[in-house]
Amino acid sequence: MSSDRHGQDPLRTALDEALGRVEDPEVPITLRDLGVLRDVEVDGGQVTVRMVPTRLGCPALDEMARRVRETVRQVDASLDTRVEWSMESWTPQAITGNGLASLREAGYGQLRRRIRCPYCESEDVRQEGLFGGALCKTPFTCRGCGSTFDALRSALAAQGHDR
Amino acid sequence: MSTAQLLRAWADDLYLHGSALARWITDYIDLEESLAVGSMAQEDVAHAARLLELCDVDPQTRDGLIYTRPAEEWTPSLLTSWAPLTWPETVARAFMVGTAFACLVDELVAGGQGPVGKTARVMAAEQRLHVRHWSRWVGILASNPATLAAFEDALGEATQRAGDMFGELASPIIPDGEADLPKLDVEPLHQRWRERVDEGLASVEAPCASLPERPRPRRAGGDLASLRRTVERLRSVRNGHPDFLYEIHS
Repeated sequence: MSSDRHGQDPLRTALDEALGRVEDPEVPITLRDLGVLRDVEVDGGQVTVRMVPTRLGCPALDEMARRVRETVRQVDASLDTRVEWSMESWTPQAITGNGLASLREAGYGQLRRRIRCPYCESEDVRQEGLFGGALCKTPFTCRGCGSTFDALRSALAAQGHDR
Repeated sequence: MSTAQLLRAWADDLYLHGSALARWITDYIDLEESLAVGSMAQEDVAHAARLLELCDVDPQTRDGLIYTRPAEEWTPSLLTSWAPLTWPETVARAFMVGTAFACLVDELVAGGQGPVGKTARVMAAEQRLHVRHWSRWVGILASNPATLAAFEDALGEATQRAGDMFGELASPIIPDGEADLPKLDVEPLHQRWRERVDEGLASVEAPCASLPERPRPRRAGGDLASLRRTVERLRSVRNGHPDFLYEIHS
């Protein structure tokens, strides 16, 4: 089997690049940068993509899986795709550096050790409830600049910032 | 009663409870509460689906359980087959359901690191937010003289109905399965739940609840008259539009 300049199978390279561009249906970030798309395995004509949902009840899971399957089909229509949803708790720590930059640009709160306002970077923020406009979002108000924003938080992380 | 049968009964509970909560998404004038109940309703229905998945029920069979199974064959608790009309009734029910389900999933987590334990760990984390939310509402309603009497009535009604949440089925009509599930003992689960309810109510200075000392048996159909009305309403869109194409999601 020939290899590309990275020493990797060209099909695998093409799949990694294509799947790395698949976006979340709602938040302007790729599934890989969001930490949802975790692993891709290729075995003959079978591609297995392992993903971790931000929340079990996320209504976009089927759409994410559809986008992944369609992307693989566009790389090579002969491949069969299996999407495996791994039952582990997603946390914001799974978001990549690129992902954090994308979220900041889109006005989402930044999680370092504490939530940070995406507009003025203040850590003096107040959580405005346990639930936001989507299952994975929690609403915040910045006491520094008065802006309101959402942060992506997992159920495991939602123990701090109580009001 | 096997663990699979208990989880399938609980799937009925969570589906009915989540569906009832969803009613409040548009009934409420408080946007934040609408968002909260909408999220929790989605998660309760999703957790019902995950329980069925743990029992090796495929999505097509699950769809049939919801949309074609006769009401007499459902096995919900009297609590979740009840259709609460008021907000205090909804809060009382949600507090009971949330604390009971938290006990159940904690026990599944203790069952190990395999697929069941992993799924239960995620559900437990997500449900903790629900319990916090409803506990806060219990405190609000119990501390306000204008709502205390209504909440006490609602808590009494919910408590009277909730005694079968960990009850055995009088005549098991749920098929047992081959799923690899840890053995669960319902008596200790019921006791832990009673303690958790007492602690939760005391922590927000709410009235006491008098759950029975031992779990009462479940009966097929639960509160059957109420369940029939609920199931008919839930199926009304599909029944009213049989020509539509419906997708079954995983």
